[in-house]
Amino acid sequence: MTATKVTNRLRALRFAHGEMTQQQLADRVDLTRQTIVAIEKGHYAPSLEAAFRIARVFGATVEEVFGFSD
Amino acid sequence: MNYATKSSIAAFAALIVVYGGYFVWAWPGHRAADVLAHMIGAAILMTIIMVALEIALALNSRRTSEPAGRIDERDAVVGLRSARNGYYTLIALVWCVPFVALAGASPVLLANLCLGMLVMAEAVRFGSRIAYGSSGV
Repeated sequence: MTATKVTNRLRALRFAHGEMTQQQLADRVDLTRQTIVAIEKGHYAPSLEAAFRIARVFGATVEEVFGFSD
Repeated sequence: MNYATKSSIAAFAALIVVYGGYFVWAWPGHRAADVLAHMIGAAILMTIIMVALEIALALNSRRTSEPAGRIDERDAVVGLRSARNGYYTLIALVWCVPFVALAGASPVLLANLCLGMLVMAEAVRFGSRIAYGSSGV
């Protein structure tokens, strides 16, 4: 199983924003639910554009949503 | 599991069943005319099965929130990497052709060898899509 070094706080942010479902987030950022699942599990690092769109949904900066672990 | 992964599983299964059956039949060796007829028959059967499976998947996707055929950036990356794996497989296998041909293989054997390479490359492509789709890229 492939893992990415890009970490994220998607799950926590979704619950902090009215327990938003993965499908609702996917619809708002024009991704599929499977991609949101893969991002949350750390199996996929989103493109910069997708990262900005996700951060915008939560009213946060990209660095508040995503991190990088060496 | 999204539409693209389901479609890949269907294609992979159809490929194994149709061409597995063809190569089991073709293994003992047959006349060129029979081989050609069975090759064309297998291609037509594969097309019919794939069209039927895609229609079934599309109808099933109408019951879910996942629109049929919708792909996003991850699906595109999965598709590209899978196509690359299939291409590498094809390139590696193609090197068998000149050696087998120069060893005096019959046209029937060469035709089946070429078809087998295509089937292997497609199997790797669909298999990669399934693997990447479920475990990440």
